[in-house]
Amino acid sequence: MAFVLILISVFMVFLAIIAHRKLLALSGEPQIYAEVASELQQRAHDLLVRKDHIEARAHLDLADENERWKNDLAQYMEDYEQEALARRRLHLGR
Amino acid sequence: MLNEQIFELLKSFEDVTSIMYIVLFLVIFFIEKRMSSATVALLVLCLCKGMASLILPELLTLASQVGLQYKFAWYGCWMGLNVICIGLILKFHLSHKIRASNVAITVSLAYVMLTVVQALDFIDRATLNSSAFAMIYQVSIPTINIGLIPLICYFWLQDFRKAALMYKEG
Repeated sequence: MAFVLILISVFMVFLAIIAHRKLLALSGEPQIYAEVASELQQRAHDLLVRKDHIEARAHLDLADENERWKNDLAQYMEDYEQEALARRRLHLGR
Repeated sequence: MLNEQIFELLKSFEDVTSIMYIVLFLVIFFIEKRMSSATVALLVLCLCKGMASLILPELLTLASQVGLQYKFAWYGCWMGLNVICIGLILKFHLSHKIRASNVAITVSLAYVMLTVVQALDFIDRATLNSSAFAMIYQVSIPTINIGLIPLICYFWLQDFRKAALMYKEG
């Protein structure tokens, strides 16, 4: 009798801990967001590297290359803004 | 003597906790104006307090009888209520697809601690009957209940400030 009751109470403690751990898993940023953030970071880095290259060989066909770089930068800014808006909607609900 | 005084003080504070929970819930709900993680946790907290005060008189008469099964009725009911509350918080978060804030995690952790303390005291009573845990039980449960209030305030203000900063930037 006592053994069964003790078993039930230990079981309830485990149940509480399992539910708490599930809640903890809900608290962090989801994996997909970390991946998206990492990709945006990588793209920003590539853009900066390209800008350095353009500036280093200023004597060559500068105007064309510079124009393309600016277009890519604008595209990146657009993506970044969309991502930020989506995150704000999800986490803040507005 | 000193223990008695501390116990009296804790008891008098604990009587106010349910009102404090309700006030906190109303204040946070009126400021946030939506079902967020913090309001869900506080709502469940208020619900639990209400259910506890409803079943307390019957449980007291039940627990005053001699026999292990009556003792288990007392501890088991509180443990069951705590588990149900954690489950409710989890369920609300899952169904509303909201991220668990620090407030919700603190409340859930408090329920886990209450469950552990109750289980330890029951196991002690069922096996050794040394009543070593009786004192810890009597002190820790009001302490957890009272300590929740400043912790909730602190974590909620922290989250509120973070959200306000993000909103300003966005």
